Amino acid sequence: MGCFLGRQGFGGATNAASTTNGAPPKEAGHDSRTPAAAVAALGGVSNVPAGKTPPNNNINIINGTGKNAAAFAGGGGGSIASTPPGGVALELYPGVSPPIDTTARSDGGMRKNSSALTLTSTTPDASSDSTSSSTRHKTDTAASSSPSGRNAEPPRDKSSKLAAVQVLAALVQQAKNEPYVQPKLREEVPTPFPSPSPALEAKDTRKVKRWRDAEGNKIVNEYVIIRTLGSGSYGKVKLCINTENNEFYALKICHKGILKRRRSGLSSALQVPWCTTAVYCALLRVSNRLEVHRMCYTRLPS
Amino acid sequence: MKKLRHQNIVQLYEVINDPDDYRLYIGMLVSQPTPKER
Repeated sequence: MGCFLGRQGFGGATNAASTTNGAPPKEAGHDSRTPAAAVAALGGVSNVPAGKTPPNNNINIINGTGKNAAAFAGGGGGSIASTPPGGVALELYPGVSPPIDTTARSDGGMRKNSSALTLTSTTPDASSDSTSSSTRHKTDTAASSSPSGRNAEPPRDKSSKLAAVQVLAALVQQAKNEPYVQPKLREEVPTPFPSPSPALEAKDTRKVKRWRDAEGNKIVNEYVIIRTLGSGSYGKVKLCINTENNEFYALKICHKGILKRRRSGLSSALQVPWCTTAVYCALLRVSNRLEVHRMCYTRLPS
Repeated sequence: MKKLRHQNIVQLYEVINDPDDYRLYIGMLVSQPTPKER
């Protein structure tokens, strides 16, 4: 029985390895979406156009100008391509937790797309000005509606890089200290089933950029990692803030080697009698080599 | 999972898969149990 399992595992291994060695799937289809995001980042349209903000959006704007967002990118030790220079820095910790639902999320996806579209016809300055003024108005209403006053203070000096960095650092620090309060789930709000649209599909990014900012926070692309939500045998799940819209995301971080190993069924090699620990370790080291799998396959006792 | 969009499924937002990095990042919705479930 043991060798049968092993054989099955390695047979699957060759299949898995051949598929991973082949052309990466769906690369072209998603690369076409990346320039749009890059255009949005360069032109500086904020992620929240005025007219398209849903009423139950759980975002408080603390920062009117895009300079501050860009300043954070510069202060972070590298340039975030995804942080728009004209973007608005937002805060997600409202005092009254509004209901959060999938329609709001899907609206978010639509918003990003439409902002990328409007960018081509309008100048960055005009659009960012209009959005900042309207979002500033939203800030006031949101601030007045939140009794506990957990909004971070807006920076007095808009053009100061340091102020912006401090604000975001305070934001991250605040998020680190406070327990994460999830906005109420969609109990009160009956959500219609959101219609699937190709624009709402998940992003597929091929480039990863990791660094630490001045406070030592780890940053992966546009996500500032705050703390660990949980960890398992496949990896960890981190709570993080997206610097594009300052919403919370869960970031699951997996080790590709482990994923590949599990998929190839290499753990079943331990059940094969001749597969000692040393051989197992060797297998782990070269688990993506097709030849090793073949070798194991032929060496299996029949 | 990329195309799934349902209130009962944890929403997947982004997959960061760099060929040069050994890690795979999966950006998802943060969810916690509702008071009922606790």
